[in-house]
Amino acid sequence: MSTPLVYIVDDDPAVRDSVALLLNSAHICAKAYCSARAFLLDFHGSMEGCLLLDIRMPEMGGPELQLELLSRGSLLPVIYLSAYGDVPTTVQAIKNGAVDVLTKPVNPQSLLDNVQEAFKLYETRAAEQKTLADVRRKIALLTHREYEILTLIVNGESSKKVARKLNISFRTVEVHRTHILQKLDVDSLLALTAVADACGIATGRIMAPHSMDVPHK
Amino acid sequence: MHSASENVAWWRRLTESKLPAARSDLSLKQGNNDCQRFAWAALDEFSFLAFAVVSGNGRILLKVNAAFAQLHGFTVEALTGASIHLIVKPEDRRSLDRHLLHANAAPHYIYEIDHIRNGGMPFHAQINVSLMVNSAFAEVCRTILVQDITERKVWEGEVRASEARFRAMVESSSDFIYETDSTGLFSYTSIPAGKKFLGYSETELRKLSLLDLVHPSYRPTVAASYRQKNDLSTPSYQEFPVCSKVGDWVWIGQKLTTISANPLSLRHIGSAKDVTESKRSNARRRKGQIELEDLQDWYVATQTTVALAHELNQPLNAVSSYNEAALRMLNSGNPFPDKLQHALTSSVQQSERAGKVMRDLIAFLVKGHHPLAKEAIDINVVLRQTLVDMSEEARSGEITLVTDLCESLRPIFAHRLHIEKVLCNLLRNSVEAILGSNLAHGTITVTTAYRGEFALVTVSDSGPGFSIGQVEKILEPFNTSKKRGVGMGLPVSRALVEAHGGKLWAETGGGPVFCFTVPFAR
Repeated sequence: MSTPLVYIVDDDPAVRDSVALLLNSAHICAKAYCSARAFLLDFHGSMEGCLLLDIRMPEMGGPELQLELLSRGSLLPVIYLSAYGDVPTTVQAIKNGAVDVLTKPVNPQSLLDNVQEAFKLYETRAAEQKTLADVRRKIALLTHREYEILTLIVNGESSKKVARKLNISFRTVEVHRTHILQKLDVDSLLALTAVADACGIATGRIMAPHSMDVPHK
Repeated sequence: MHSASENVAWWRRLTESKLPAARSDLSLKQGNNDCQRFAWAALDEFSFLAFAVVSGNGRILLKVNAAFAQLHGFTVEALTGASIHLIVKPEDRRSLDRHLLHANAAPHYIYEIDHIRNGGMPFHAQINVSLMVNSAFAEVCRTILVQDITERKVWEGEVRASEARFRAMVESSSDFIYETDSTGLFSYTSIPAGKKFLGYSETELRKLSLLDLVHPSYRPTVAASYRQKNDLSTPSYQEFPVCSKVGDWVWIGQKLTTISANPLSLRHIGSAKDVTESKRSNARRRKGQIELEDLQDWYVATQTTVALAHELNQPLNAVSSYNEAALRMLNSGNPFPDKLQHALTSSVQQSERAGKVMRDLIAFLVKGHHPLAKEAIDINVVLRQTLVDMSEEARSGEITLVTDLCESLRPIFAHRLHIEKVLCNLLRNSVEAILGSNLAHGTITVTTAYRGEFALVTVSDSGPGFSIGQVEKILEPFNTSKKRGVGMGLPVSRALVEAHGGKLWAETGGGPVFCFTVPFAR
């Protein structure tokens, strides 16, 4: 992981400058934007670190930017800065998954602590994301038949039942099963179930990877 | 002009005392006595009075004067010795007999009857009959004095008709109309409206004074209005609650006009409307208005605070961050002196920015504020008006407003609206203190007095008051005991009073007292 950044979005230049300087003095790199629009223009999926958002900004406020970023698949945790303790906005921000809402003037130590916490949160999220991406990539290697058998197995069907259901021999099922374990790089049924679970296969939440043409049942 | 009976009496005095000689010798039958002629000459001098002497039974005209003859269109000679029937309308002879019966039995008798003139033209006549005992006559005789009262009859008829019309109007009016004396005793009341308003019948009302029914706290002012003269052009108008027979309080609006201004027997005509409903809806509207004002105050205060917080917290946040950064840089051996300088310089700038926010705000507020247009005003007048405005609110909690005003107080030099606002704030404060304390009733006392070159106004109440510690804080902003108050009433009042060069303070003695001073006009 490269150096995480704090992306500051605040319409007040003094706040941007002072917070950036404070973060620098604590050896944290920061990049400041004067508006939500400016940040969105610069935004890309490989940004690492966290967001420091002003709640009230002209044109697009902090909470709106957060929702927009969520829809774009951003993993960046958000810390809010609010010029006054407005309860409804604070509650909404927390519900949207903000790390914290800090009221200006912010205690510098509390800001730094929150940034560290947000960085950790980002790392966790990034790691989860990476595992998930790995599994998805591996599942994409399965053939249609293998994916079909995987779905049945993680739903608790025995090899015999699978064979009967798909009208193939028990041997064939066993061969497919060995291939699945190899392709997904797992060595036990338990590990297989965990992988399938991460992808939501067991519960049927996530269907097959996009590359595969799985008929709906 | 003398009345008819007075004239008769005068004539009798004339014949009996001023002409003593004539008295003994007067003999109309002989008709040759000088004194007798003299007496009749005197009688004829009253040429405007129709005068006659009739026989004891009243039926024969023994002697008539010129005016009598002229009134009836005959010559004196034609009437002398004639029957009285000659001048009485034939249809009225029966009633004449009846009257004569009474007349003959009494020394004096007055009756009305239709006389006719020579040509047959009838007229209303009033007859004064007096017994005349005189030795000159063989028998008892009587004097009669006849007056043509046709005009008066017509006029009386008109008055009666107009009275009937007036009564019909009064009785059908939805207003309660009555006549009272200076003590409020009814001498006339319109029956249906009185019954409807108060539930009392006319006989019951006649035994009552309106003052007995008036709410005790209004009784003195209403009583005062009955003791003074109220011109027709400017009738006095008052609204006050009266107790109906079933014990309800009915608000009436009374218009009072003096019809007899004699200070010994003042009489007024009062007309009263039932204003209970409009009072109630006024009270409701007023309550709603106050709530709305409170809400608006609250909203304005909130919005102002939010805007102010935003404007102040930005630079404060920057100051805090710059300083923390500077500290950290120093702690790590100041590796970048440029950055440290930047942090500290910016911090100073941001502090100044915060100060400017406040200065700009004050400048903005001052700009929007117009200089006071002060004038010489009587604070007692303003105070009374404010009390009237407040009385509705006070009434809702059975609060008695007591005043002890220094009537000789010189006019103050002040902005009328501002002084009203201060009084209103203090009074409302007291009303709410009493209402908020769950006491069923209370008293608010307002006084004015001299305090050197200032008029001193005090407002005290029987509410729970405040401790000595609270006195310090009570005039500070945001100090409120109300559910949705902003706590600005007293600070604003103090600012207004101080803008006039006066002072506003709170005291705790026997109870909570708010005092303020305003300078007198020079």
